[in-house]
Amino acid sequence: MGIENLDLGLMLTLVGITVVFSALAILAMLISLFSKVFALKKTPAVSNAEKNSIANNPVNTPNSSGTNINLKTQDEELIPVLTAAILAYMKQSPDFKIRVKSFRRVQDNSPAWNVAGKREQLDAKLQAGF
Amino acid sequence: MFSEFTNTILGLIQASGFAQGDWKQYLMLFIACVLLYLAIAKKYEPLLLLPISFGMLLANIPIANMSSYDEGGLIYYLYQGVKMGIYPPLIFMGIGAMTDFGPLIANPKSLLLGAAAQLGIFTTFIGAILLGYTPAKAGAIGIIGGADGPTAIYVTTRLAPELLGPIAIAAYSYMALVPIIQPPIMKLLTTKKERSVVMEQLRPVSKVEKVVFPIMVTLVVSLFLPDATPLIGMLMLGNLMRESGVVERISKTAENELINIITIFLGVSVGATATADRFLNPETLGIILLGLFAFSLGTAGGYCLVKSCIGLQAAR
Repeated sequence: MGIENLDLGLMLTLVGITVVFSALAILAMLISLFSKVFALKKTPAVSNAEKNSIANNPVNTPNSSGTNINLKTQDEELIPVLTAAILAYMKQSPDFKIRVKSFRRVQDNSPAWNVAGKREQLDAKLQAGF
Repeated sequence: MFSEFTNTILGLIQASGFAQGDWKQYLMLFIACVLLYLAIAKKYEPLLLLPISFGMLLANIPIANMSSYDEGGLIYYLYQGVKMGIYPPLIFMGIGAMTDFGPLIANPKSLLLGAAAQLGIFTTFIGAILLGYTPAKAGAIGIIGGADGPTAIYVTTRLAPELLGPIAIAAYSYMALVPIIQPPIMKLLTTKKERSVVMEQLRPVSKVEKVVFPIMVTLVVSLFLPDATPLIGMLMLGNLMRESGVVERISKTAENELINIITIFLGVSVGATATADRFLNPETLGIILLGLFAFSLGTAGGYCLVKSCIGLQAAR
């Protein structure tokens, strides 16, 4: 039996576990740190780009490929569409006077499949003549 | 004429392996056949188990002199790559080229799970010292609990080269027999509910992070533990080749042809160390049993650490 080596073994165990856990903890911290560094670098760049795009384009929306397109002309068309939709909802005739002065886009956080479903239903209704 | 014929036939029979072999060699041949059955019919890690068990079969054929210790033969020369610690770093390079460290970078805490294997390594280390092994030999035996063949071979060549054969065969056999060894431990230490937990989606990791990671790990680990540089350096070289995307040809070679060739050489030559006279003795059998203990406890350590992490998260 190697009782005489037991002290050395216990000491090596203690040192070994401490060294391994310390080295891994340092590595884990460094990995978290450098991922944050990259995130920090990325954030201002994105926010500047966003600021510029907001300044140039009052209302932007992402298209399917993820890029923003200018919808200025579409916004002008949107006002009569919204007016008609409100009148239809209120069950009023077109001679009822209302005026859409402004509108605000809200972030759509619906899942992609949800949006696809809504779009499909709208298309089906349009094809069926509403 | 007839007696000459009979004598020749008798001489042939006596010179054949059937007459020259002893029961130990036949027992080893039987063990090799069982392992081959597990590799081929049960598909238990066949990439490792098949060359190992066939190497074992070749090494125990009487008077064929095909073991890793028989100087001058093919397997003897292949074994030099194991003995000199050449294969483990090359295997690590291939593994690095195959591995996506994205999930680890996204969740750095998972690094600590690997450290849970320390439970198996150090418990076996103390156990082996108590059984009378020297600290160096005990360390080489304990490292089997790390469940990594190349590391076990590399550490043994540095600490106790005389135990290389049994330790290599134990480490690789247990890696190959993971489908037999680990499921009972998993079932014992986890509930069905825990096993059906769906892991949450991790954050996406940028290419820059993936490229910086191998360089940073090499620097930190090598500065901390210079002895680990050959293994960690080659692992991270393989990974850098993969993630940089500029040396696709070399990366593909490292993760396919090179690692396959080294696996064949390593598997056959490690298997061929298991000759009957060296394998069927109390010290080797002790190492095999201690290795199994280390391997099982290392696995259990991982589950225990994960369970305590989940417990801590739930308590918060």
